[in-house]
Amino acid sequence: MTSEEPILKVRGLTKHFIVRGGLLGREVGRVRAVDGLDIEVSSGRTLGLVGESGCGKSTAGRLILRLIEPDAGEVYFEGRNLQANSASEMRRLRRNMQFVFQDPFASLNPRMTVGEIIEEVLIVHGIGTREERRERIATTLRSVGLRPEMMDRYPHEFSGGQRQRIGIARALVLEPKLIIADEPLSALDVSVQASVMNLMQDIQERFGIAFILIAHDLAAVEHLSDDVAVMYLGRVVEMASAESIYSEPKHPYTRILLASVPSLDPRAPRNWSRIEGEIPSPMRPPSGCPFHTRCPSRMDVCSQKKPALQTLADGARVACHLYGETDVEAARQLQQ
Amino acid sequence: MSADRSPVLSVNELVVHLHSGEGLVRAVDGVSFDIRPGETVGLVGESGSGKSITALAIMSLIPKKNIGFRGGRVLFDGADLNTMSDGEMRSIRGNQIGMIFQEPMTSLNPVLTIGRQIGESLVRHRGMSNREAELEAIRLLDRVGIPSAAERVREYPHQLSGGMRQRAMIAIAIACKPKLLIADEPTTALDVTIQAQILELIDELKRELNMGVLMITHNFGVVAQTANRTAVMYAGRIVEQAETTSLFDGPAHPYTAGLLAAMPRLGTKALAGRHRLKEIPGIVPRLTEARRHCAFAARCNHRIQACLGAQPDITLTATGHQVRCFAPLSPVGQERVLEHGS
Repeated sequence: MTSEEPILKVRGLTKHFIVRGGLLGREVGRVRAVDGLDIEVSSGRTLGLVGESGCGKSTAGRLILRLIEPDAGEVYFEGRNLQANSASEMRRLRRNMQFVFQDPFASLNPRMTVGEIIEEVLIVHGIGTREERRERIATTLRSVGLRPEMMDRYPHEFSGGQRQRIGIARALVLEPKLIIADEPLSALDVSVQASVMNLMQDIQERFGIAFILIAHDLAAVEHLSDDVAVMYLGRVVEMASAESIYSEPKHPYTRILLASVPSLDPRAPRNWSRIEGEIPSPMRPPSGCPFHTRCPSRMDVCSQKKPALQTLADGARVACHLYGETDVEAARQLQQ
Repeated sequence: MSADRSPVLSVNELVVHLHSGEGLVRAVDGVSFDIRPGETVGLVGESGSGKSITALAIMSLIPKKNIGFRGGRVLFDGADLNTMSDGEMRSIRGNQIGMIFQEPMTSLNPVLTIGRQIGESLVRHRGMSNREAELEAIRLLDRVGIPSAAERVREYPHQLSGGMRQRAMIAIAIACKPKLLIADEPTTALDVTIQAQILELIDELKRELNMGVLMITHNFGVVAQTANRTAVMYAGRIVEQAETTSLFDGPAHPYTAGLLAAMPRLGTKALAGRHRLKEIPGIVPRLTEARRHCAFAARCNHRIQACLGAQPDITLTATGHQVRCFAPLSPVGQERVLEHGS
């Protein structure tokens, strides 16, 4: 983790969705989708947000951009608290923060040409004359590896990989400082994923954009990310540099998650299925540490006390009772 | 794998051409492979490569009106499935051949209890009474790792989680102790920790029942960890087939090598740092045109003149790979073996 002031800082971000049922639509429960999220991203770097379905990673991305209103918590962009902004100010700020969606087909209007799709975001933000906008779209298409004359074609004329390039172009045309990409690779074939990953790295290097990459593919996240946050039931359980988290995972959940990925080496020993059971319902998260019901290293304290996200000596942050106060004390002394 | 046992499934020059809005699609174009008892064969490829159509064709599950042309032989336990009547096929499917699909929610019947769906084939194929079938269903649910099986047996598919539904579908598939299990993307819809549990379960059952398993997937990690032999499909054909370890150690087809190089490897960041991936240029060809050249030629960085003149036949490399390529790569360093013709 770098010491420079992060471009995005998230503190205590929380969203509970109310589940209604019955004839009267009474509240029958709450899904704790995101439950006190603390993350930060530095300029020009990539934070990978990983976890299994229901961990809250997609909701987190939408909360950060206020596509969904959070119940609690703050999001600071370049030091400014986004929650304190009015809707119109938020729209202005959103120029700097763009979203890339998973399904490049569903997120592009089939009745609009590629040029119109991209121009729409420029018009919404009141940018340029028609001529200037065309020029800007042409430049952007070139930087995502498409030809400018493609702006007059419709989405169905493009392959899946090209459509995802169009989705990235639409985010890129506003020259944002932060792009949140939610599963940008999962609809693409292996041979196409590589070229989209290379494109994401290229535009990051060229324009200094910070990325939040939300994905379930752990190898792709490692490849693209500088830092990685692992989520479980709405909370970050571990956050560290990609190098450290993949070579020295600390949280028992991170370890199991990584060991579950089928290795591309047929000779690699199989460490599978050491995890018991399934992810508990986020409507009824377990007491104490949310992972204790499946954890192979659980202790008595784990069902009683929720572990805080604490910083260890090597800078990694982990929410787990295995790492006691002595580890944290050692970290504090090292930092002094 | 023991080559002395005769294959439970032998697919020979299977051809399936399908009608589509854009004309005839050569979805499967001369596919051959064998599966022996207790052996897992991985069929891996990208979308549109023909791997799922191959599975559906083996089980005669493609509606007749969609088929433009069908050729080749599919021998199951020595009998040709292609010549069987619908009735004969039904007595084999769900009995001697079990099937698991990607999305259990769409393959399970939403209005029947899990127990009924497992019991159905036991009553039909094994002549059990309803009571016997229910007891056997409970035993099977327990075997595939569904807790409180005696209660779950009376529940409906929507009451189970995605992982539990996939376990229930496996219980249905193995109820009659099949000789062959066809698993089409069985873990694609599942989270990675659940995927590991399901793959382990399929592997255990394979050994218990001495089944042959056809593992169809787009995930190379899944075949690396489960398959004894692996066949890589591209544009309706198997372009390379070999023992799994040998295929991953030294791919002979430039497409296999290209895919393996395009994938990021877990746990390599600390060593490799930030780096670019190797791309495969271009896109998958349309399967509507008849081809007189290698389907991969346009995207291949090892292309020689011969590749544009004809479709390559299967050749055997020194490392025992069956490969459809005029210029296969040598196992070490992946240099070209043949230097002629370019």
